[in-house]
Amino acid sequence: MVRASKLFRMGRFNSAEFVTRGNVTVVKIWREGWKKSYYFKVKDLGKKSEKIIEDQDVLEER
Amino acid sequence: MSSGAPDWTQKADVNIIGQTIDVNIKIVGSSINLPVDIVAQTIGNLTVDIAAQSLSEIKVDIAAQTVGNIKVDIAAQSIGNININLADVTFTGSIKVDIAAQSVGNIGVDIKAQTIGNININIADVTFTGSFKVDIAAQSIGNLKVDIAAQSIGNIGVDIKAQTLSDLKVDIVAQTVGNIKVDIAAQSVGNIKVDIAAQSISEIKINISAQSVGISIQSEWQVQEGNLKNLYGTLYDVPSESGGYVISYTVPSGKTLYIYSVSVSSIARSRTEPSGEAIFNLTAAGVGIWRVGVSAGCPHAMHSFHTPLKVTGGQTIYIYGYNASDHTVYLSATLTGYEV
Repeated sequence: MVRASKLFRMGRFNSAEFVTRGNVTVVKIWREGWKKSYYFKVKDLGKKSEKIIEDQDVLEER
Repeated sequence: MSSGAPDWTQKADVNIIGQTIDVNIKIVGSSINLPVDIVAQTIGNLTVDIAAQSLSEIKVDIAAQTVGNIKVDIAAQSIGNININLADVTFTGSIKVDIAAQSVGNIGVDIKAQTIGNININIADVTFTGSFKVDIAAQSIGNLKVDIAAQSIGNIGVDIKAQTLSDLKVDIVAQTVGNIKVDIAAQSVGNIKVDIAAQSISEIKINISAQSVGISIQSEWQVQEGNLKNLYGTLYDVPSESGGYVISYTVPSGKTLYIYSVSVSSIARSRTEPSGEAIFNLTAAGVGIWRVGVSAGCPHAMHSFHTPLKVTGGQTIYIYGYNASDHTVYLSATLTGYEV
């Protein structure tokens, strides 16, 4: 099973939606062929202090 | 050819006629002239191994109702000409020709059959200055694989006439390629993909005569190939005189992101307030690419790059939004492109 954040780092997605409130960003990714989108929640995205606080398993990718 | 043969000349005529024949022939000599005529309703397997310093001509004519497998291994310093002619009603076996020689003259392969299994021709040659001509006329062909590794090649001519052809793959790696001409006449063609990597190309001509054909520009083609990259971000509840990253994406190592469209907007959180002024910066690899300010009267902006913005692996692309109004807003941005 692969985590959504890993697929995001690998660029293995077609669409990514960034929803940011304060310093927490929810990144929702989707790829052609997937039945649904997956997300991970990250604090301070793009900064040195970046920290993932929630990460979904992507069922379609094994 | 190693010796071991007596030092005199022999001539022998051998005629074998029978219903079932099992013959093993071993001939050792310094100079051999060996014509072989086979007339049969059925040929099981035909295996020919030749190891010689020089070979003037190989000619194989096969006329049979059914043929199993044909395998020809040739290891020689020089080969004059190779001709393989096969006229067959049903040939469901395979033809495998492995040639390892320092120099080869001409190779001609003519096949006429209703069905052909597999054809593999492997040539590993130091100099192949002759010509390689393959004519195949068949109702259906399984796989046709030709691997040629040579310092120089004269001409390659491939004519294929078939009702169905599953896949045709041609990979050319060469320092110099003269002319490439591809003529395809078919009732239907699946996908044609041409990848060319060259320092210079003199001219490319494409003539398409078809009832319906679609030509895609690069961005559309990449979407069809599944390489679409759409980045959409919203920064919620941005207070007055503050900002943040709406989109932040680092291109993976080994990939390249091409962006051809960007759009931004600023919307007031409260319905009673107008959409506010905002400033957006698009940066890639730390360099500002595009900056735009939006106002309450026109709180959105869009830009299409005439030439796609290129962001290579390891570089980060940002859209930073700043709320310049006196009330809280939502800042949104979209980047559209493809990544390969």
